[in-house]
Amino acid sequence: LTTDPWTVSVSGEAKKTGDFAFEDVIKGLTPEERIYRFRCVEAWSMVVPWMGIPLKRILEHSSRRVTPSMWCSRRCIRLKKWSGQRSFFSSIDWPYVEGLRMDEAYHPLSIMVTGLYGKELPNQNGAPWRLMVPWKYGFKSIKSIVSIHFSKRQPVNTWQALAAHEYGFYANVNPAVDHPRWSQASERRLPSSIFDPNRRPTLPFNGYAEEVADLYRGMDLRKFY
Amino acid sequence: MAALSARRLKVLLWVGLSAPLLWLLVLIGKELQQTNSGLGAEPSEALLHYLGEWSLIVLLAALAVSPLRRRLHWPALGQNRRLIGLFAFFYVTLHVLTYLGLYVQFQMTELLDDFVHRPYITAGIAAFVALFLMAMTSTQWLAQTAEAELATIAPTHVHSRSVSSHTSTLVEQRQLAGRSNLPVGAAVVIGRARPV
Repeated sequence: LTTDPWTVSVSGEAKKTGDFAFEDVIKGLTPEERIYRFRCVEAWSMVVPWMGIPLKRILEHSSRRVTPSMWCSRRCIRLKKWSGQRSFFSSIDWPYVEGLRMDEAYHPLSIMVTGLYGKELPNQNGAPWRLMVPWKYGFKSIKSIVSIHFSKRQPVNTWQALAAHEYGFYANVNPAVDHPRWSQASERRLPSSIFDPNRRPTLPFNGYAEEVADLYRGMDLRKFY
Repeated sequence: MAALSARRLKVLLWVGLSAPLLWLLVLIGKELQQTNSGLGAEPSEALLHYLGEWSLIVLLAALAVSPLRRRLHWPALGQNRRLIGLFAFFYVTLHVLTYLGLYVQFQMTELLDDFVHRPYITAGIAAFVALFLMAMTSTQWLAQTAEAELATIAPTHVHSRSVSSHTSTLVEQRQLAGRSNLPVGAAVVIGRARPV
């Protein structure tokens, strides 16, 4: 996969639409270090030092007037070299699609990651840029984004399309709502050693409840998982 | 291939079936020297899956013995069936102990929660109980007692047995195999339902 040059297409209800060079989208914005807890829906977790730019600043920076309430980004197959994406064994309908509500996208904790451990973001972690919303399960934080679409309608994200009873649109980390096939009450914190899986209780909103719980006030989180 | 004697086959089976365990010990050794070097980023999960996969492989090998023995006319294979079956039980036991120790961490409430809510755990525990009973009743002494019991029910069988003397004959092996085929079949149907 070649990440340079990288084009990002912006479409939908935005002030400025079209194809943009990735460098132009983040021009003038300096990545800052954010050390976040990362919780996978499959019950492992890790503390990761990302380098990133608040998504809010990117959206404001490109001076897009975003009146609708939804924001969605899309990742797609760039090259055939990137095997495993469209293989016989893949059950996913590529490109991978993820979405956020606009208030989630504008939340100060939501960042677009461009670096990891003080270095440029490696391909396997979603180069050249990826989303990071630390209070949601990892699959929400879509990698290698090529398309941003603004819409009034809530998008159907890839995992929801694949198994709606297992993966929802919100995917907020919630120890009280189990995945049908395993418990979400605890997690295995990496790195772990062979005789100690390093299990610890999972926190509501992955420990960011104070910052984000207000976004979901009055919502039944069992229904909107 | 059929020329291989039961004794030689036994040696080969011991070597072959211990190999996964020896390799695992090597990986654990690396792991103890440096974390995440032998078994990857999540060593306890890798351990669980490694043992689970080998349990399934050896269990399927044990189940393949009877049909293969008949097809290949290879009685030596049948005489080593119990060895393969016990190796399968050995790997299954390590797999279950890993689950109980590292995942459930010997908490009864956790185990009950898993047992009730996760079908693959329910099936896995049922399969383990079935295998446990088979392993416990697989000793020479029990097998002979069972045969004696059978003999009292069917006296003609006693006669044929006394004729064939104390050495185990192919006929007896077949009877033994026939006796235990059903529970093994049940165990593997259940066992197959769980992801490894």
